[in-house]
Amino acid sequence: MSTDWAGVYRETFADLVRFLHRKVWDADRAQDLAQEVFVRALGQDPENPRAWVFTVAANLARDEARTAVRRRRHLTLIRGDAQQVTATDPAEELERAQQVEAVRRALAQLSERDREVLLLWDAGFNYEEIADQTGLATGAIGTTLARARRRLVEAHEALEAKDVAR
Amino acid sequence: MSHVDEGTLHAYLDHGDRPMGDRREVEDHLATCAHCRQRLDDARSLRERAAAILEASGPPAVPVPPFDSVLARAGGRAPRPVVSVRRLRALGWAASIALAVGVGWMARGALNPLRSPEQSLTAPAAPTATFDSALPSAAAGARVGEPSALGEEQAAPAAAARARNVEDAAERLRSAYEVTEEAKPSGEGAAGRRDALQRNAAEPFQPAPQEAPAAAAPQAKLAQDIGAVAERREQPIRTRAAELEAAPTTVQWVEADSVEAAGRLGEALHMVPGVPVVRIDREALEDSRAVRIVQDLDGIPLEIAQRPVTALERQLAERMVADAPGMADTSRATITIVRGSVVLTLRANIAPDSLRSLAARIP
Repeated sequence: MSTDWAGVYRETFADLVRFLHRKVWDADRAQDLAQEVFVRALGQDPENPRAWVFTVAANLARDEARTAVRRRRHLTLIRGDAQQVTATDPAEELERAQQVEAVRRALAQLSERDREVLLLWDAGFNYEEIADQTGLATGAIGTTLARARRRLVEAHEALEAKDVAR
Repeated sequence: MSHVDEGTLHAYLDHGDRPMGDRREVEDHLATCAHCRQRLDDARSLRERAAAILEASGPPAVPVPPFDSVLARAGGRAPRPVVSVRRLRALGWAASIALAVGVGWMARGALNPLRSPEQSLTAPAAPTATFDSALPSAAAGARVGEPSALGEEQAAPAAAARARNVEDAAERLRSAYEVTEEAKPSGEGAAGRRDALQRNAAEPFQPAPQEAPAAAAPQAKLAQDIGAVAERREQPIRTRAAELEAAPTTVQWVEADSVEAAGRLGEALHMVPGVPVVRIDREALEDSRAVRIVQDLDGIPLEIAQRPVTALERQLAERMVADAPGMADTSRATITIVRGSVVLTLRANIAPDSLRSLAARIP
């Protein structure tokens, strides 16, 4: 039976954009990549379409990171925010950009595996799906998530404290 | 049962890997162990805090585009999508460079922070190509400024050949940029980054091309620039991008303190709020009122040259700002704006949209 990609698209797109956004840090690019995932999905018939979609998305994001222009990373945040906060004042825009930047930097302090597990959980995956996606044992996901959450919170708080001190 | 480990507590909260029997076992233990109940509360708090942090960085909520858009995107794709994308990107490069060259040439007087409009007006006359004619024709491969002596049957193959040349050159440029970007060092510390910024800031700041185009048409100059850049793959991207914008005259800056710089400018210095200032300069010429500040965009220098504005420059600068939204991504964005009685030229190695967003923050 061929996969109902339209249905998978409806159910998964928002989670996929969210997942990709934490990898490329550009809202427009995340949406573009999410659509690209489904363009590539057409004609495919994987056993687990949702897992397949996220695997392809992770690969696309990885490719993106390899060729991404480092100089744009910081400013794409601002560009994305500029589009969504056109009606807000510059101070709010700045605060929002700083928030996103703090999270990006905090996530960057996690190990790749911890970050992947955390982002998959955040994208709505259950433990079994995360285990399938990452190759970890299902029983190890709770421990990995606990560690990832603690490191994220600690790193974020440290960055906030640093900002306050400046 | 011994105390519950942290991973099990998180799995319990996440309804993760615990079968019902195991969950009951955990609950039985929690019912009798105040220590683990406290740890469960801590785990819950940590879980909620992490979720809130991630939520704060989420993308803006947007409606899901219809699936038809995916089908249309797939349907419009060439049989070899990778090649198609590469060609599109190459064309994008060509268009963006043509745009940068064209805009810089036509508005060199407005963008140059040191050259007065009178000087610009007295410069040697440029070829009579217009901004409107330069861009579309460059993208289509037509030669700007050349008399249209060719008949249609002769012009079409020639235009196609020129278009191929531009695409090939643009592809070389794109490859050169990718190689350099991957080769760039990434682990600079704060001190090293500051040093790099200082070094970058010490380079001459030439916000816009000032060289009047020679006899060669803009398209030929574009191909020349692209070829020159492709031959210098080993050089840092910043240097090569600057070469694309290189002007024959250079501006000499010397470091100054904020009071001296503001005194020269005649008013408070303009800058993007919330972005650290790493350097303040004045032009070396004693009678010049031009100053420059350099701000640190997380490792990327943002240069803002500023000097008193004249009426003509105000008019030109505002036109440039109006043109800016259509600009494609370039390796070095330049935007000129007017704030009060000062014309500001911002330049940084970032996307024009981002630079425009920063410019909007300057009070």
